[in-house]
Amino acid sequence: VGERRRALAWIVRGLSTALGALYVIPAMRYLGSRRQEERSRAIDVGDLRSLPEGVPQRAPIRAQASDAWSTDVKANAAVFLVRRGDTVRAFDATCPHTGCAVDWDGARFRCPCHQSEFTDDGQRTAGPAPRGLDPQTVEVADGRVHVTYCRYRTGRPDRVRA
Amino acid sequence: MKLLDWIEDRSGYRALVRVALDEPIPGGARAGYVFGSVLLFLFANQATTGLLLAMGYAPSVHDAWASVAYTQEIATLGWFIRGLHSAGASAMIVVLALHLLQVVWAGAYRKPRELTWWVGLALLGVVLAFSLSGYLLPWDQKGYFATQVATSLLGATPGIGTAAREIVQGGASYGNLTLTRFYALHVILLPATIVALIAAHIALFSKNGVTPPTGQENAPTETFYPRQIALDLLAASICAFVLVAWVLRTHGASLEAPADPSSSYEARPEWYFLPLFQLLRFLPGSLETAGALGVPLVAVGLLVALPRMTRSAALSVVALILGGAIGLGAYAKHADARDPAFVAGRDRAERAAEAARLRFRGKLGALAPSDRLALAKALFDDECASCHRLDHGSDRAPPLAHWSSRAWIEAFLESPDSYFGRTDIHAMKPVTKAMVDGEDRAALVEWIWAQAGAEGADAARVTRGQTLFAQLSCGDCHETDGTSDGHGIPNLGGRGSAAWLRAFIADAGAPRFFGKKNGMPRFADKLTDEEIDALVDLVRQERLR
Repeated sequence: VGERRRALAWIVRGLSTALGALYVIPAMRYLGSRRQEERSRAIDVGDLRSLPEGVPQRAPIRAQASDAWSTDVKANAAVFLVRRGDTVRAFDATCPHTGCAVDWDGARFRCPCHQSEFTDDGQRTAGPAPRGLDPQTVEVADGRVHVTYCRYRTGRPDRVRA
Repeated sequence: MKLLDWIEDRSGYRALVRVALDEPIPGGARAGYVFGSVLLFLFANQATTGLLLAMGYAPSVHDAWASVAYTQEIATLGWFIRGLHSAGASAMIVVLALHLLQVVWAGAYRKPRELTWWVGLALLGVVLAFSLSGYLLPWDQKGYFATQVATSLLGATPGIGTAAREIVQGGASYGNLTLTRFYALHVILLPATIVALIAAHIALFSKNGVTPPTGQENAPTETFYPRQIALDLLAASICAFVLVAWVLRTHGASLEAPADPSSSYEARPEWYFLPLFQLLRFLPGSLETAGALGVPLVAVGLLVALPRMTRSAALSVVALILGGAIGLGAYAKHADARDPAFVAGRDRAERAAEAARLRFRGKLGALAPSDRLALAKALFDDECASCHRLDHGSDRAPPLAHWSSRAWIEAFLESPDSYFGRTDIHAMKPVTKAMVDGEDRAALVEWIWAQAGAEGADAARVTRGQTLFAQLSCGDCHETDGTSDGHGIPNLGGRGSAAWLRAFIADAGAPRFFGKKNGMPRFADKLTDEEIDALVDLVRQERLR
């Protein structure tokens, strides 16, 4: 009787494990699948001459992007453009600390969430941010400014693509 | 083990497990008792797969279909999870029927188990409500039109009908609020209700225990663990095996084209509602409401009254209801299979579903290269076929069969007016055989044909053709540089090449094409570049046919 009971116990264990695996394995694969191709390409963010000298200007990154089941033209991020003469620098408007949107207060970039501060060339001067603002690739062609946007992971001192 | 000991010390959970596992089964474990447990397994299947599906679903008219299509077509194993959810819903109805039969056969609905029986009937109702509300959520043709029938019947209920229907729909017709309400019903209200009812059902069951068959009441009592639980798990595993086999065979649940309220559609409910559907077809219009609401009401009333009936009466009632349902359902299937309109409608719906699937994949850039031509054909059917035909002529617009092949061009030159159907484009002078014939005619045709691509063209004829083009004064009207404005007369430069055709489909009213005389819609805003490219390939095949 004891042996039969043990055999039954094994059957119970085996079948419950198999049934559990039937759901857990597909669930993990389903939840782990991602298909959101953010092709990084140069996006026109405006006219060079319309940028004031030395005063950072916020510019949305508007592009055709597919987001799971839909494809739309929408602003997925924003950068600050800083023009000096004919050259333009761009910084991600996202604070590298926890991802809040920083703003230019006339003298410096300030993050409204945890009061990190950055200079107009992105250097961190105060607050908990682990690094400076993330520079973005800029090209100027025919008087138009193009930014190739790249998102980095927040909350760490080095820059790792998100 | 230390951690479990600690939890045991603080909670005493082992006693609870003991109670559950050592639940006495008077008369011993039996295969006949597995149905309740299989239903619990199926409930767990619905809850798990439902949760995963909800993680990829957006209840809005704009997004619902696309989000389900994403799960079905793109997400890894999404089709499998969706298939398990849909097949699980059907399996639940089957196993519920078996459970009910077993209970009625064993007399388990009688005193003192009336409450268990009634809660069980309520569970049956909730399961049907689940399936009805879930059917609409993909917002495809099938769900949309089948659910219309259900809400229309609700609206026909005397007294409260109109108000009830508007509350369920969130308005006088279907829209965003219908989806959000059905969604809330399906994933919040009904799950909460079913969990409460299942808890009550199991609690009542454990108070009174199983009902051993007559004459076996004195067989030795066994505990739930291990033999009954092993039997239950075995039955659940067989059920899971059947589900998986079914899902693999059908590649998950069907997803038809997005709901289009303006289309015609042969609506049918899920198979377990077919008996009711058939009943409505049998009844004359005046009796429809009475039949649709009265017959199910009488059936439910009889089932509720079962505990007061003798065993033979109870068995007859259940046999009548189940037999009637199976008979009506089978008749509905049989009648549909012999109805040519229905068969044609199904065929149409399946082609539309395939087209929608391909267009969705194409839009997301997830189309297999081998599906490109199929996508083009689907697009052609959707967007072009109301005027153009690929297989033969049409009286509305230029025929595209063998379009721009040498034979097509030759015949076109002979009688151009017959090639423009009911468009505003006419008045090109025919280039008759009297004007140019034989080798010269072939050369002129060759020059026009080669505009679409020099590959395979006879170079000598092309050169001769170009001279003839000038001699015959064709150039008085037609530009040939491929860019200049022709003032309604097409510029023939590059005519029929891939780039030319791409630009033409994008905007046939451009100055170098038909300008103001053009009657073809502009597709640049309607189709994606990939879709236009697929159409270009499809139409350009005709040139070499």
